[in-house]
Amino acid sequence: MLFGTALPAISLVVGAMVIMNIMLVAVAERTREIGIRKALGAKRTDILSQFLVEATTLSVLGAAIGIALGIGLAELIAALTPLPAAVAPWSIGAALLTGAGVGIAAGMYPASRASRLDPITALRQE
Amino acid sequence: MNRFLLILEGVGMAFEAIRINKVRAALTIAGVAIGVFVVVAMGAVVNGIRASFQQDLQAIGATTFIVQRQGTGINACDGTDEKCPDRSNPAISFEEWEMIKRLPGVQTVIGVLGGQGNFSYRNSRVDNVGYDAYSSEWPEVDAADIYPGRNYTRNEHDAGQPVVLVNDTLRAQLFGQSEPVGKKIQISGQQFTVIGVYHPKAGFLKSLEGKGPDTPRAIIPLQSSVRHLDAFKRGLALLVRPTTDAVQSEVMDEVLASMRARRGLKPGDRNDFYLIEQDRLMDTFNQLFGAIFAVGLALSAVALLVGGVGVVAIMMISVTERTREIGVRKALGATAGTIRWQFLVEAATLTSIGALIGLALGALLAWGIRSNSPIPASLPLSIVVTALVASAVTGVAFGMLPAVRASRLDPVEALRHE
Repeated sequence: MLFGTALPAISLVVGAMVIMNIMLVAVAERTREIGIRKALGAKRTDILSQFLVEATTLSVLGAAIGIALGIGLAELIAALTPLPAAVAPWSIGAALLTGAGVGIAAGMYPASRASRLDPITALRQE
Repeated sequence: MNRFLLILEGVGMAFEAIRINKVRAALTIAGVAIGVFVVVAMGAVVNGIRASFQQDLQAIGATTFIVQRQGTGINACDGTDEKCPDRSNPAISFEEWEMIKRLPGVQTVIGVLGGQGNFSYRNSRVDNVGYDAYSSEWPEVDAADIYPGRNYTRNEHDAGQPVVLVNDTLRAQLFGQSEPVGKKIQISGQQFTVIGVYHPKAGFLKSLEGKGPDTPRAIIPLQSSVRHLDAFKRGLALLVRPTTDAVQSEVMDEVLASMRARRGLKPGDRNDFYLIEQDRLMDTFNQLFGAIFAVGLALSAVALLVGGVGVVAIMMISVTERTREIGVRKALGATAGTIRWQFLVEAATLTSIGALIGLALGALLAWGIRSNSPIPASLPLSIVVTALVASAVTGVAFGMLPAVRASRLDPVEALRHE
């Protein structure tokens, strides 16, 4: 159990931190864009969902790559060793869900920070 | 310019960059720190389990070896293979025990049987309690204190007296607060007298086998277990302890030769018994746990890898953001090498801080495990060095791509960058 779930879960936490970091940078870089969108009438929830969707897209893409790598590794193990390793169909769904969950969790803070920006200060930013 | 000064300058600039982007740097450092922490913690636990196993082995004496009917470890017979040749091995007999006792270089031979029984005292009843049936010299190979009470004597053992020692847990379950020594208890319907309470040393592997201090357990004279409890005599194993001036391998050869002679084996026949010395037990342990440990370390290294990818991402952004700065530095005469060095040092600074934090957390966890469990988890120098080297390599390996990219920027383009 320790090997099977706890250790990979830690990698997921680290991955979530990377996504959060990147999203924070993205929010900082696009302050002007956020200002313009707000000035044109975008609501808080619009900005929030924009960045949440962006973070989730990133992490679901990551999950898809991870699933592909996992299937590849399982095939390799099955071919090279007597272990009948195979990826269970339900685990693909679970992995995608986990990916989405990680994206939402990691994107929440940067997205809410973006949504709270004051449009006037945001527009003034270089 | 002097490389050392460049490093100092680079570290200074790295701290400046961290100060400007506190959250960003903190998240990057935390990623690496978690990665290093997991690797270090994993290593400490692995090390602790191995040390614990060695302690268990040393408790029975460094030169003590075991004579038993079947082998141990991966190659041992299990229930699935009916043709396994060990199955037809004759049991180690009491006569062979007596014979080995008389061999030169042998100090003591302790017979070991195991079994279980239902223990009861008045209204308290504890079922299926495992017991070790030893000959009276067992304290020589089992580092357990006896208090209160005493061990059984050789005479009591040889006469098969119904006496028993209980461990702390069994004492508490049978007697509660009342005095155990001298009380008559029933073991599977036979009457035994409690003569002592023993406190086993808590080895991790003993706990795994259900022989730790938290499991109710008892020690009974071997002859008494055979006479009164119908213990399984064919399971007899012998712990042979050579005298202090004897050489272990010579005593083992002596035992091997006399056993073969007694059993009438011809020179080409295989041994129908096993001699197991501690190196062999350690090998078995390494075989069984080595693979599990390797997978564990590989899995924890994944976290470090992900942390490293985080460093690459942040350094890439850092290079993009500081394009103008790079342009100015190049225009003022910085070479591609200087720029590459600057960003490498910055990446290495980030990962090194992370590694130090991870190392500190790992040491803390090892200390926590050591004081709260029987596993003597510890951070040997090798793990500390490995963690630091790994983080430095991570820093350089993952910093290389952004650094090279920064160094290749065209100064004219870079200066024009908004």
